[in-house]
Amino acid sequence: MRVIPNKVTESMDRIPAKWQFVVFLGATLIITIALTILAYSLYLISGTAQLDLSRPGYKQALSEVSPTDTDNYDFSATGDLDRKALDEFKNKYDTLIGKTKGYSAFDPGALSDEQLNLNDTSVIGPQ
Amino acid sequence: MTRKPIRHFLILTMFALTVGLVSVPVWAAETTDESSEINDTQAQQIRQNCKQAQSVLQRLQSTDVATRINRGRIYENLLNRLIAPFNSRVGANRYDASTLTGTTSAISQKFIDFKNDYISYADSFSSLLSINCESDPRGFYRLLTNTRSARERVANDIAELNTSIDRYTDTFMMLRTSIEGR
Repeated sequence: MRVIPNKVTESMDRIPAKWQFVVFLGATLIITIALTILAYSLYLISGTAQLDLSRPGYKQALSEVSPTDTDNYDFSATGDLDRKALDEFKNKYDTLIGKTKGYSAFDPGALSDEQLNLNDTSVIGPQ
Repeated sequence: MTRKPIRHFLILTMFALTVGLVSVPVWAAETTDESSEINDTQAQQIRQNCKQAQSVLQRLQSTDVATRINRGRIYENLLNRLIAPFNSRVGANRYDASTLTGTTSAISQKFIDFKNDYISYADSFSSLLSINCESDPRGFYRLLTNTRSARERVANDIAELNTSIDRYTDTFMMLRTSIEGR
């Protein structure tokens, strides 16, 4: 475990005393920049960025997100599988499925020329 | 004497650069199919209606992210808190859970596709909003066409998720009939 710290100490000892602080500072900066780039890239690639409502311009989205569902959907993995258990599962299942119907299904028509008023000739002036 | 620290310094620099370059996201290449090409009249229309279109797009982007979060929560609850424990319980009671498990895998896979395709769609949408449609209407329309395709993929994922969920419902109903018939 002490091999790496020892090697770092050895390497630092080889550097002339007047440069040690500069090299240490440079290495620290490089490592910090690399880790920051890595963290930011993970933030972008993982999809967190696309769902981050704290970004500017997402105030409206924040109000449209349903508050955390407090309903109990937990179904026990143990116990008998009788009529009562089946009914309990079906009720919770239907409730959850029903909730998806309240949300858009990313209708492709929302980006059509008509929706974006891109084929509205009335606003075109003389060419 | 001072060569080794310099070498270490260079290695660290190379490492930092490699990490930076490798982790920069690769943006989707722009496709140029016929549907994304526009004539001069259409370009003029886009220029004229640019501000209005961008305002509609901004509202849509905001609605979409809320929809993605809301739908995502429902699918996660469905899979983790309801379906997975139910499948375990079916197995624990010595009933055949293979069909249920197979359908559950299909739902999980479609949910993963939905999440990944949404990321591509959101990236494409952000690029679309960053382009100035007044100065570059052709570039704007090309990106709009890409974003439409990405949105269509997300819509297909939801349709397929719904189909898999319907299949699970059917399998559950068959199991229920067989259990209650005993």
